[in-house]
Amino acid sequence: MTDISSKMSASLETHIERMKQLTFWSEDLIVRKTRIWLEDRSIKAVLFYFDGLCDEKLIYSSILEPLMNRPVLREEDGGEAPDLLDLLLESVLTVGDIHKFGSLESGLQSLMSGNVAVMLDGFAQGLSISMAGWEQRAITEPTNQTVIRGPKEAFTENIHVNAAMVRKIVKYPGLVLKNHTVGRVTHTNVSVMYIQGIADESVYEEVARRLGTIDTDAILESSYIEEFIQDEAYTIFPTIQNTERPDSVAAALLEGRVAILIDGTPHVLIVPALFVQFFQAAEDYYHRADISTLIRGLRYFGLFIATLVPALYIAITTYHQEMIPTQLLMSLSAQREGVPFPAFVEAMIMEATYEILREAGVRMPRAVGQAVSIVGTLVIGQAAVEAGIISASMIIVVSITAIASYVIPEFDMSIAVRISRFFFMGLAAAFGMFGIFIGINVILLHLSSLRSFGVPYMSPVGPFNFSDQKDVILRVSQRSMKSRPSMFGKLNPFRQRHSRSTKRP
Amino acid sequence: MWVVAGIVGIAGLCTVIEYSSLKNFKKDLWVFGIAMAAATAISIAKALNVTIPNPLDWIAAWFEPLGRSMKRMFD
Amino acid sequence: MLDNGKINGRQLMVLIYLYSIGTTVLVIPSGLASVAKQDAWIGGIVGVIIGMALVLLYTALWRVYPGKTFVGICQEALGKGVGTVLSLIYVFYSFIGAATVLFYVSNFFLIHFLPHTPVMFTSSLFALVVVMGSRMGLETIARTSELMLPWFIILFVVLVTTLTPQIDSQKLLPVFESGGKSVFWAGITFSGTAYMPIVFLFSIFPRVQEGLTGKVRLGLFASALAGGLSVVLVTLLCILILGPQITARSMFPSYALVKKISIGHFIQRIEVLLAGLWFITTYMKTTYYYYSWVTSLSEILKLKNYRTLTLPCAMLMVVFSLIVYPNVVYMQHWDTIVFPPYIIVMAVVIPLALWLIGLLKGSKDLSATRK
Repeated sequence: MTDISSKMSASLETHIERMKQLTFWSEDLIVRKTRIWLEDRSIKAVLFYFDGLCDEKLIYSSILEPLMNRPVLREEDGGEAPDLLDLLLESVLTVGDIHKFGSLESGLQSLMSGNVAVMLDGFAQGLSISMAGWEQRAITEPTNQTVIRGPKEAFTENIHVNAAMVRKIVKYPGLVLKNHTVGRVTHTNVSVMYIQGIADESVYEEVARRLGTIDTDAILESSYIEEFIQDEAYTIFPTIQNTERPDSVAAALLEGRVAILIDGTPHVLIVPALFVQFFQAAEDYYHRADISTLIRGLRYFGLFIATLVPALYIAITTYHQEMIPTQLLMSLSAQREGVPFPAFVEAMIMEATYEILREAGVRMPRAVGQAVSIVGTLVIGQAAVEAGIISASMIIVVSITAIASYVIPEFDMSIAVRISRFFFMGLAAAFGMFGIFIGINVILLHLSSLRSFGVPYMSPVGPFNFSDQKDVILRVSQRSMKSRPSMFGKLNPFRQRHSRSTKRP
Repeated sequence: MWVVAGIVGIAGLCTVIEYSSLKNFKKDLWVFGIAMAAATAISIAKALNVTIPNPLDWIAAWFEPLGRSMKRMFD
Repeated sequence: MLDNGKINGRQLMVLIYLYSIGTTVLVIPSGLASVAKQDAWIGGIVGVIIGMALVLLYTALWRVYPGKTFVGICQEALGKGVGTVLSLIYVFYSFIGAATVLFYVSNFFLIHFLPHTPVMFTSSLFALVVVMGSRMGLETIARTSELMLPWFIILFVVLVTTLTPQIDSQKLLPVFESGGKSVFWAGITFSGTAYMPIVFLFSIFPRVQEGLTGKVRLGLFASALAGGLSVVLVTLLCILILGPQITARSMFPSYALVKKISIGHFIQRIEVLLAGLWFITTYMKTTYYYYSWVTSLSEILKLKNYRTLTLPCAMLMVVFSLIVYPNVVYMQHWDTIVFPPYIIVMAVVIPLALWLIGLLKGSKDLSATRK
């Protein structure tokens, strides 16, 4: 594909030939020739569009019909011939999104997005009309972030639909959408949304700057963009959040954050993203405050279990047996008697097996998947215990760990947890509890050094902010959510004024 | 023997880690080099069980008499 | 220097609190008990009072030389030549401090938890984390300490609440049997370990965002007081539960103390978890000694980036932690006889002198401008 825009000549035949050449004579390019009748002459016109990308019925009714079935256009209606294009643009073609293009390449590029290009004989410019009407998935429930109570709509692969879904929720004129194109070959549409007056403009500018530095062939999913624009390359912890739910995006925008929508994927990126936000789920705000607080606490507890329990098991049974209550100690030692491996090897075998089963369960055809994952773990685990390869307590440890890791709402964070688990296991096997302390220390240091688009990753716990604690583990009632998180919302700190009590006087 | 190899290995690792950031600063490079050499030398000496002078002895030489009299004063 | 991290007043408070508890809580109760017997806790309180006076001195010194690290203060007060020599002595002092604290930590973990692991590995592993933190910068360390504080407090509260039922107040009697002199000496040793090392924090005082405002000063006093009192509380518990003789004879009496925790006869011997407490505080202390050492040395040598020195200094620290205390007898002797005058000179006499010089210079400048 050529990068140099060719100046358009005025001859229609040249245009048609050139357009076919530029698309390498692809057979899904439709070339529709027609004529526009003026008072004393007719002007040849041609439509270009790609089969399947456009809504054909709309083309017939909104472009071809006005062009062909119109009463004869008089010269005086439009003045001189050069204004014919403007006349068509302004008064004839009954379409919404229409603009002129000056080079064949840009006209061709717009065809790729489902536009129709109209060119007239004798004119150096053409008209590009948005007529996208391809088949796409309907709006369905989110696949990963389901809720018991709350909206059940999820984003689709169409960026316009997604942007509209967000606008439907935040009916505020200050909700700004800016378009970018990323990817040399895929020319993927990327839209950035933020709320003017709440979000810090510098975050948007930084996002725009980083998007501008991406120079790659293809953007197929939001994760490509995520990897290009994230702050730190060498960390297992995510610094950019993604979500399928429009209500999560709207809530984030209201906090003062910035959303990045990418055409072709329902996963929308939200920046900046902090550690504590990966433990917040949309549901927390749709249930009562007290239960949400407890469940949040449960999530952090789940984080603790998922990361540390195998390592603690290894450390305690290998180095610190005195901690185990006597009865448990006796049954544990009885179990571990027949086992030939040290606790560390046992744990590694079980964890590795579990990871294999888990990954296999994802790839399996649906019919077989369920059976393999559940029964597999149970049967294999049970069989392994009977064979004396691992002890029963190890199975319990691994199962609890696995289940606890699903408590974490965001998938990206649970990946980080899975990886750090192995890190802790290794340290525990070598240095016992001391190793675990060292490991915790290393991870805390690492977390404290991260930033997400300029905001320290561990805010509001890292640099401690008292008023922001209302949404970390606690989820205080909506009445008390008076201010926005100070990390993002400094421009417009208050959400609500003092709300009156509903109690009778 | 292995310990000495390990020490040299660690010293090499440290140098590799620091080298790229130091390439342009002559003075920093020199200071790093000298410090690294000293540290490696002392570590190897300790690994080979050579007696290394204990800095606490030097401090004790200065302050011990004072300390004794202070203790006597308060006992 | 290339570490532009800033810390705010609250982070400084957390820092001072954990730093003053530092290794104090590990080693001091035994020293206090051997000097003052069952009045060890009174000695601790005296130490806290002395400590408050010291903090007063340090804040005064900070006020006289605003925005300067210790190296800067020495050079400004005594001129380039003598000032550099003095600051080199301080660099040496923090080097010794780092090596000795590392020894305490690895020794503690060696004896009680990892007896079969060569001490070199434990030392190196701990040093690794210290270096990692220092390289990442002051902001990272400060945020990490804020993250660790809740855990420290939870564990500390667990410690105190689970041990309180086992108190035997008879062990406190007779009160004040040792007399004023022993108590005072105990107080000096206490403040020597808890408060006098605060002089090293001069390498980070200039980084405090707000500078020395009234709020920051109050926070400093409050957290130093809290730190000292926490150690006094632990000492008190040691005396009340273990008794003065055992406390005086153990090397790590606070550890022997937590061994006694028994919740419902089910959860027992959980001292490993409480070792996490000491891990946090000693980590803070080692990190700041080390950080102070490396940054002061880079300041003297006018290096572009303090990180250059981190790795060689780490190696030196580990090696010397294996050299400094050849055996326990040497350690006891050095800690009780050599250390007190050494630290009083470094952390009281010299800062006092520097402060007076600063005052004189200040008044001289004032009178010069008046003319």
